[in-house]
Amino acid sequence: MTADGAARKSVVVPLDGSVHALVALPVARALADTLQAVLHVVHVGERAFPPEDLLIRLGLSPADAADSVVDQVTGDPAAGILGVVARCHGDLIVMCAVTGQPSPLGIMGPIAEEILYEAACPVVLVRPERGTAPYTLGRILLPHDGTPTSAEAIGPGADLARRSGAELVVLHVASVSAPQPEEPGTLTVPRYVDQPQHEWPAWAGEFMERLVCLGCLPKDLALRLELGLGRPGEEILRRAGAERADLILLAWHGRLDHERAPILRAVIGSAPCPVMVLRAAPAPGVKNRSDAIMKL
Amino acid sequence: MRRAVDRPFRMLVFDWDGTAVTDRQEDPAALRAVIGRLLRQNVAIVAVTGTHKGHLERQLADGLRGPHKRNLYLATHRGSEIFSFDEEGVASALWHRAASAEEDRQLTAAAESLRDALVRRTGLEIGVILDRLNRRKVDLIPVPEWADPPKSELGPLYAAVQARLIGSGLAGGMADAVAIAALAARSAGLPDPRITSDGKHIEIGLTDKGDAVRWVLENVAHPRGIEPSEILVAGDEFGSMAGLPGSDSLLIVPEAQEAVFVSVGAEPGGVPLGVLHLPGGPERFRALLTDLAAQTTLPVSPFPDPEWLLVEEGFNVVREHEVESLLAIGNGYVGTRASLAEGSRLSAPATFVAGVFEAGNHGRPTPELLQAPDWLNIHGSIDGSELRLEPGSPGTHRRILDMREGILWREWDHQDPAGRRSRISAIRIASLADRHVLYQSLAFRPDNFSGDTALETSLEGGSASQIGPFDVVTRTTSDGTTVAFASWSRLLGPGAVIMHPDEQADLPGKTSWRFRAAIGATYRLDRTVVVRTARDAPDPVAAACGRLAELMSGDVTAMVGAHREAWYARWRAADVRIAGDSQAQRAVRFAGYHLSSAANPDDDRISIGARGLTGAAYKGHFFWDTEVHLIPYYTLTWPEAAKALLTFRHRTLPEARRKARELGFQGALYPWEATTTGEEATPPFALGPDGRVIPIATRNQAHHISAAVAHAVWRYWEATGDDRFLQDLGAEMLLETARFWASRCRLGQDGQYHIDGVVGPDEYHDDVADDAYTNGMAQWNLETGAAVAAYLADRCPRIWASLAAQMDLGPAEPARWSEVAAAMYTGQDARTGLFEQFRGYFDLPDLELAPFEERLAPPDILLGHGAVRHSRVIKQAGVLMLFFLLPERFSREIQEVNYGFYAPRTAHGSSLSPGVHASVAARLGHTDAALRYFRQAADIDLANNMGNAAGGVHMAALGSLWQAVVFGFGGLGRQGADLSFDPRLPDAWQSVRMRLRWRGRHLEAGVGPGPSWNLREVSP
Repeated sequence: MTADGAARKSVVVPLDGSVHALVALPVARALADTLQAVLHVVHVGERAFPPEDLLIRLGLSPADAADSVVDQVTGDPAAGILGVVARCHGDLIVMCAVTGQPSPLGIMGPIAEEILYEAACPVVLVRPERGTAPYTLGRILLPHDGTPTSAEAIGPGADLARRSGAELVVLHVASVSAPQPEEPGTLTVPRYVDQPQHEWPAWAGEFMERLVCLGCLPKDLALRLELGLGRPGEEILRRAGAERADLILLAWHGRLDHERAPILRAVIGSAPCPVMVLRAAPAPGVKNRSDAIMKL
Repeated sequence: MRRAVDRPFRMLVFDWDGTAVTDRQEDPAALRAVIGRLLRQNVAIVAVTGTHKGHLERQLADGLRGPHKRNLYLATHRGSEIFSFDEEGVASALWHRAASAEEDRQLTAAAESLRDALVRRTGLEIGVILDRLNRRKVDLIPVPEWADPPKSELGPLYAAVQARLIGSGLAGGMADAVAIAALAARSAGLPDPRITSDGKHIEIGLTDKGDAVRWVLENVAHPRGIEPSEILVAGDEFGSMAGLPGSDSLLIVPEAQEAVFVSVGAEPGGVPLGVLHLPGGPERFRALLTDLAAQTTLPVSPFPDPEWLLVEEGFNVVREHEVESLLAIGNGYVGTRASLAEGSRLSAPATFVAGVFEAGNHGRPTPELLQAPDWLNIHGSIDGSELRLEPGSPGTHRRILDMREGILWREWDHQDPAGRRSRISAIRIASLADRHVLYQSLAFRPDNFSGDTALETSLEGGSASQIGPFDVVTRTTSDGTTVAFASWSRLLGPGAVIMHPDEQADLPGKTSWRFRAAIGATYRLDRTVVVRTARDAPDPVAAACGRLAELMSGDVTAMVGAHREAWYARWRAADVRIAGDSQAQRAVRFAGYHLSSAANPDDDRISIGARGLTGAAYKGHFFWDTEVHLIPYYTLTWPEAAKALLTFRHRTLPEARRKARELGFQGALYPWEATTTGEEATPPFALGPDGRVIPIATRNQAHHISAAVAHAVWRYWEATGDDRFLQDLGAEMLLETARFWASRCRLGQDGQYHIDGVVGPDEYHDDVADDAYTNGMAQWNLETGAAVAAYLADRCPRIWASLAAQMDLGPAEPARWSEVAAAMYTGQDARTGLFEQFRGYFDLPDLELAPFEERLAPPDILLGHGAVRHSRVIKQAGVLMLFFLLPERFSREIQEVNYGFYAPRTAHGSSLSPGVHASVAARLGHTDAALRYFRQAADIDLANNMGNAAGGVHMAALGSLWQAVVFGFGGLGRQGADLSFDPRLPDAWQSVRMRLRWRGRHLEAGVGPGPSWNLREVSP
């Protein structure tokens, strides 16, 4: 329990004893600290180990494990991890993106992919290239396609930004290649820019107001809007590098197969920082364009 | 004790003979008056009779006038015909049951068989009447004393008929006769005969009154959203008589079970279960209607024609800003966004008063329209639970803009977490009859509970005070202009009883009520607001309170009625009717609604902002949009408004002269953006979405606005023949703008005049030379300036001498204008006929636009401004704009070749562009393309997934929509005092009818079906 009587949040970090998996630990610990959450370290293996051996197997020093709960699961790794998440009412899973064999899509390991599909809470994926350097959260990049369902999904990320005091940089990418969202209430770059001196401030204000409203963003959040151009995945990666972002927030509608989620795949595959994937509700039924005209 | 009829109804169905009138000779003037009142409240009235419509027309319909007559329906010939009325009051059949020849034969055979059977069994004389629509009548008592019995003699009539039949051997009397009739009808081959009796006759028919009820339920009530429970059905013969069901019992059809049925007849045999008996005949019926008209409900109901309504169903909070713009109300003096009265997470309530600007905020110097005090707030709660709309709330919610009447409607079936259901309906107007008056009314009815209710109105956003019964809020701009809002709120309970506010909770600017709301009772909150400013009254507070006091003692319904009448008058002068394309019809009405809402002919010190008074975007600034896209609408439908707008440009001539001087030129150069002062209000630069500093080239390079002003002046004079305006104001603008162009041109070594360093309508390319549009309009402006000088010198030499002296304009100057115009470089290739968009344009590479067609972002954003600037992609085609404004100066062939070249290279990055293309394409006969452009222009505001309208509607795009219909598809041409038409309608459009004003006459131009057109003078 926290001081105000609320249940403490839980952050779950699965480790399998591999060096790759350990990259998630500093990120998980930092996020747990930010959220004032209990850190659950979960060992995933074919068999259970005596507690005294477990930290060694995980490559953790006693200091690493301080103030953490250490669990271990055997059998199906993803099911085991999700079981721990369910038991501890996990608010966040932090894990290395590519432990085990890469999936056919090549952007993450099979366990990470299954966790991503099945987890009800946000998942933070950390590329192995990041290493185990200490992690701090100063700037968060939020790519936003302007759809209401994406905006509604960002609550946990916004909470993280507020608690950490990190700046939230909202990035909207205008693109020729990405399909135009048809979800009602979507706001993308203006089709008509009659007078830029009026149009851009008005559009930016509207874009951010909708995001703040739907995402329930706190008023004291440090927010900045940036407009990017080009292929969204590439532009997000470019901006994440240029902005030295510590975390990328991505809303995702739950499909990762070929032809789906190209942005998510591009970003997870090459992100220079951890990526928090937030599960968005399915977009409401989108009819054809003529049906999307306001009923007169 | 409340009765089932003591509440509002939205539809009234009643039997005519005996219920509404005693007989057919009566002149029911008082009844007509109360029916007229109900029709004006948009209650659907259905009068049912067994005879032809002539009786109903003579006694009822002929005495009713006005557009509300469209709410009247006549159901005649016992359900065989339904008639309604058009806007001119002309009746037409909505439905007609036509008997086949075989059915006619069967009806006759059945009637004759019945007659023969009765004669055989009684030996009596029995008559047959055959000449009735879809029915035959068998007269059971064809004797002189019962030739035409009045309804009041129904009882004795029944007795006489029964005595006649039974006394002659038909033991069951009339009941037996009816049974024989049914047998005869079926024997004749009629599968579903309707056997009825009026006491004297037995009728065998194909239809009965029940068919009329079914038809109006399906075709009138359902489309209007009228539930059966909102229908009152009245008659005088529901109960049985002589063993037969009463004739009005046929009105009780299963589909209308939830309606309220009432009988005003004597009903000696009593009424069926479920029918309320209020005996008293036609007099009681009239009293019942009088009570209905006075119910505590809103003073009007929504006009039922869907082509006049813009409907926003449900509640999607993310679209709230757009919806607030689209459904905004206004009258050219004041405009209010359609924000929810109780607010929402994303509400942006705003009211703007035309001409009241505040000098920017956050240290920015750019003036912007002042956000006036917010008069919309109404907060309510039931047993402490706030009445508030949230996404996903149970119940239904709908906002309706009635464009015909300028009323914003709200219908909300609210349900709170405890299951308490309330029905809330509300209206809001900005009076077009008295532009200082705003009004809102909210009716609240607890459906399934009684509860402690609190209501509060408040005025916010200024300094509040209480002056007598009025809440007053003032706000003063930094230049000392005070805006005063005075508000008076009143709550009416059941029976229109005034309920006293909670004085303890009263604070300046707020009025509150606390009461126990009773289940099923309706409470109505009226709020009238008067707005005055220091621009129009020396003491705005006193002026606002004074007018409010007058309104307080008057009739709210009359005040709302005057507003509605003012809107009808506007539409009579300006409506465009498109048959065959309801989407286009509503789009052009939407345009007409906002165009009419934005103008005020009584104020010539203002112009119309790019978003009218519907939103804060563009800060209320005035652009060339007004002259190019809006004034043509006003000139041809509301010349008084056009004149006021042009007078504003004359008032600001000194600033236009100053701007020209500052840039080293002569004459008048109008500012690209202006407020009431006429000073240049365009910022020199802006920050782009990527943080880049964008220089705003239009501030110092968009000089074509001066020609746009001159063009609007000329077209106004052409359409009105208003010589006085030309002499007093217009000529000076035409001459000063011509003088500007003469100084702006440079004589090149090629012996032609050139204009360097401009930006034309294609703002992707700035700092260009010889922009085709700019040069073309300058050439026209110079020629016209010279022509006006010659005209005045010839026709009114004294005026000319005075004006020339005032302007220091010698005879040589106009002559030089003609020379410069004649030698103006136009950029036209003599070989191809193509005009070059600007000098060097043809040397630029093409850029494929196809990949961007499905994108909602313009290519200069997607590709970067630099890439587009060095290509042939243009924002809007200046060359086609020349054809749009000056079609008579270019041959069809030249227009065609240029359209073919520029259309595929135009990215339509401006909301002004698609409407212009629609006009030009239509004139050239490319009707499919023109319709696509037309719909693209309509989508700018009306598509629900673009977000463009959040900051207000696009006034210029709306003006271009109207022009596309009138000048494009309608092919209206103007040459001097003459009008011409060369219509090119899309295949789906059967016809177009346009109301116009021309040289003081009110005209209606009709185009189609086919290529024919006609012009007729109409009454204003």
